[in-house]
Amino acid sequence: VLALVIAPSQIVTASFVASVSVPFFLSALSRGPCLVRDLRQRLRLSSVLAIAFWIGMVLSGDELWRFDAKAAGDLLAGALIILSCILTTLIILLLVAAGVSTTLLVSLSTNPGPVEIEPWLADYGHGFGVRDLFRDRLNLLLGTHAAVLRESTVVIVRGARIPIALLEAAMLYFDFSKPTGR
Amino acid sequence: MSLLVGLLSFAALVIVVPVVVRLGQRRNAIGIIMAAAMAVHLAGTIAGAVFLAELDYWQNASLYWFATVILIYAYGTCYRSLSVLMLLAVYRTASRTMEVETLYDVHFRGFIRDRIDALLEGGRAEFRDGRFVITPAGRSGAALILRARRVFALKESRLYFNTTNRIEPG
Repeated sequence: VLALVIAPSQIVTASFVASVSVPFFLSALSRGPCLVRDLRQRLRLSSVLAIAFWIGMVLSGDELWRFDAKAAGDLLAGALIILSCILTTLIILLLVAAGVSTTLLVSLSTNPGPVEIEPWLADYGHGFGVRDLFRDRLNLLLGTHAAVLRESTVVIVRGARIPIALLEAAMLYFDFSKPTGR
Repeated sequence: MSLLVGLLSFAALVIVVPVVVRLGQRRNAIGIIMAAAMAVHLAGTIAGAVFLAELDYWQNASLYWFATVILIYAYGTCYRSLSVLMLLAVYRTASRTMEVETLYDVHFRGFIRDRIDALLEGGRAEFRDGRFVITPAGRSGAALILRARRVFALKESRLYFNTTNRIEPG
């Protein structure tokens, strides 16, 4: 016999409602009087608003005030549900906003006909091309302080060996250890 | 105890993932990882409900899926992060250094070619008479992305740094 409790508690239900509110807050902050221009800040604020919304719902309910093991477990579960939703939103947003394949696909769809590779890549973002993308991602890499630029050479920083070894282990784990790029 | 069932299920998934990614033919294994995650979740939930006096489904599921989303984020970073690929390309040289131009010409262009290959492989674009052309599947995918960009006003966010983006995107 399966001893399974499927009916969600108030706290868990509140976390679902708050999770759904993340894209709504994000959309509301993307336009009009509440516009937040910086994308990172917009996501951060949407997340804070959703969490505040959830906390408000939990505090106004009666489950939390029982202070039992079930309430504590549900509180942790609810927090994990919201965090999962925020992380999923972040993944999708980054993919849609800055994904290379997505931008290549959009650029191909806005071109009236077939394109040749070189002119396409040189201006695939209609205003920026692969060289700009390279500079952008190189800046992102340098921003992590794992590598520095000396004159025109990229040099790995000595202190980055351990994080890079972990990265290599992750690449092996996911079967990406064979070097790509030719 | 329900949270522990979620944690143990995730531990099982961590063991299963490296096996299933090596079974798939396609380079992008997100689909197969998701299928494995659902199967492990189902098996873990049934096992928990059989062995425990009472299994709270949502406590079990929340921990499991939270950890799984992080695993998928890590997979995505290894799979598609150009910065990570560049870092490893430099790290794999004997001197741990690389000229910027070599990094661009030899490696970065290769990473971009991989992305284009993925579009071709996924049936979103075709290579005809030396030119690239979008397929109907690619067109509907692009329309979906454009709609999402409009809803979330993402027009100017295609690069991470505006400073490097000297020409303003349209």
